[in-house]
Amino acid sequence: MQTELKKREGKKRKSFATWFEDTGVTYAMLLPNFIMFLVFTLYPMLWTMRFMFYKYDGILLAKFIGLDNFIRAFQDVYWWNSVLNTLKIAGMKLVIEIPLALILAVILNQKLRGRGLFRGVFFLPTVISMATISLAFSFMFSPYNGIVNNLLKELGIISQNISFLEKPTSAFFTVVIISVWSVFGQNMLLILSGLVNIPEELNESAALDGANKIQIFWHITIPMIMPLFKVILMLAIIGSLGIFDPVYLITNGGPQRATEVMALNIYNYYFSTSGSAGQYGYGAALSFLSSIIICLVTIVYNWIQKKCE
Amino acid sequence: MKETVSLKAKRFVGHGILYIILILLSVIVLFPVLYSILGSFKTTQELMVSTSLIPKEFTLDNYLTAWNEIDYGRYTLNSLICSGCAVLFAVVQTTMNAYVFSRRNFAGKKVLLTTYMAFLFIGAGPAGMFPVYNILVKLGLNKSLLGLIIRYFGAGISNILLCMGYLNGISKEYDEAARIDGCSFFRTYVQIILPLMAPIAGVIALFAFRGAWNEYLMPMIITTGSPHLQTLPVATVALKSGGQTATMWSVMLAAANISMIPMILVYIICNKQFINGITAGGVKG
Repeated sequence: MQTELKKREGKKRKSFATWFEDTGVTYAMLLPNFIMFLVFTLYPMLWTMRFMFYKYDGILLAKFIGLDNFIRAFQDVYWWNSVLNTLKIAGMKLVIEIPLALILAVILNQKLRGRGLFRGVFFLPTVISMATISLAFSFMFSPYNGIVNNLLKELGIISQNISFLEKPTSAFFTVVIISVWSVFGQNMLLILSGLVNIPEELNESAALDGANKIQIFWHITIPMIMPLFKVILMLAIIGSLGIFDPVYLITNGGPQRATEVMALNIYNYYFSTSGSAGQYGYGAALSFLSSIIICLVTIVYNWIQKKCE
Repeated sequence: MKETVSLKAKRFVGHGILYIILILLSVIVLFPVLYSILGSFKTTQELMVSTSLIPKEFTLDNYLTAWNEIDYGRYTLNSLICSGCAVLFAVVQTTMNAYVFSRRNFAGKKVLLTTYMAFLFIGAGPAGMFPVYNILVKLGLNKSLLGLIIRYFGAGISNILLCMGYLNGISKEYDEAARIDGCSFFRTYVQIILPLMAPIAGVIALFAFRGAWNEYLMPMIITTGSPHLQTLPVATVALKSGGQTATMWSVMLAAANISMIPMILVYIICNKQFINGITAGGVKG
């Protein structure tokens, strides 16, 4: 009797062990990351989806107000100003950054002495924190003794100091240039990764047939990297529409909201030190709208891309 | 003969133009970095008036001030702890998840993978930072470095996919052999697979280091109210608005460099891995 019980217990234990080895351990090893996903990705998302229908200042009880936040958003001049700014800054940034990255990738794919060094130099900004280097940028562009003003004066391009960050147009271009500076190396390398995979024989046989470099570029290089390039461009568009760090750190949206982007507008409803903070419900609604806008832009991009084929 | 000479000349001129473009662009790209590094050895007075990049006299006073008077030792330690944990977590979580996903079939595998991937593109944006901050405050984690560190205890799906790709290149015979020798599924991961994944794990580690070392916004929000927990980028930006140093430009540059130079050194030493990491499939930090 006793031996039988022991046997049964043994069987149970053994079966737990085999169950754990076959199934349990699988879930056990996935669990930590899944919990992180629930807490730090899914929960914030659901939180946003819920409170966009509420008036909520974090102190008083949240009050359900239906679509009022969205109605307010559609009449909010500052919000639409920030949407427009985002599109302008992202557009300008991409217009400079993508061709630059593409051309450099093509140049640095050739057998040039020192190409590894140049690749390294162009990628360098992407390992530097925008927070840290923003300090150097604000000193460089400073209106009184900034080195950019001094240089331009010495070269005779300008006669009076420019307050780069205090005029809407120059502030806009300063933000664009700094954000291009910080990411073009990443896109260059991504494009380069596609170029490296083009078989050398293809270019060689085209050259033998009498094609020049520009013809090879248009008729072989471009079609060969197109699939990868589309993905890179889409990621660059999505990334640019979410632009935050350079704007926040260099101009903080100024002057007079001329460089205020969507993400910064939303951020200020949560964490601003001046006035507008504490409108969590409204911020959530705007956040949802900004996702919709980014989504729409990618849909339009895909549509244009399909049309072009 | 003549033709080859003119071809060579053409090529020489062509390359010459390319080099001029490349060098000019390199100067522009490096300028802010050099300005920051060289400027930190100038006195504030010199920094404010001169157009020359190179200081007339090298002074280390700015670094001594940053280190001794603004407590940069503390901030460096905070940054090191956070980035160290981020690297450790990223490597363990990414390789472990990739191992399970690539070697096991289980109920819900497809759903889980698809869910992770879907959330790669949809995020809550800046609105999502507030609930995260709220959780950390409720748990009391904003009062210690744990609040900064715990967010790194997860793996990005793009990195998991990258590792899965790498794992597919590692023969399943290793797993089989280990199993026959009585190795459990988990032990096979620790003793056999993890060492085999070292090259890709190194790339993941580098990008995790870059991400954590450079991260600004969330650490800034979390450490509001407890300045002693600030990491280097947070402390550096705080100097800009801080009263005592607002006029000490060169000290601020020195402070920025304490944050920037270690990262640049890591980059120079591991340049190959960084570049290969990007070209291998766009690792995210």
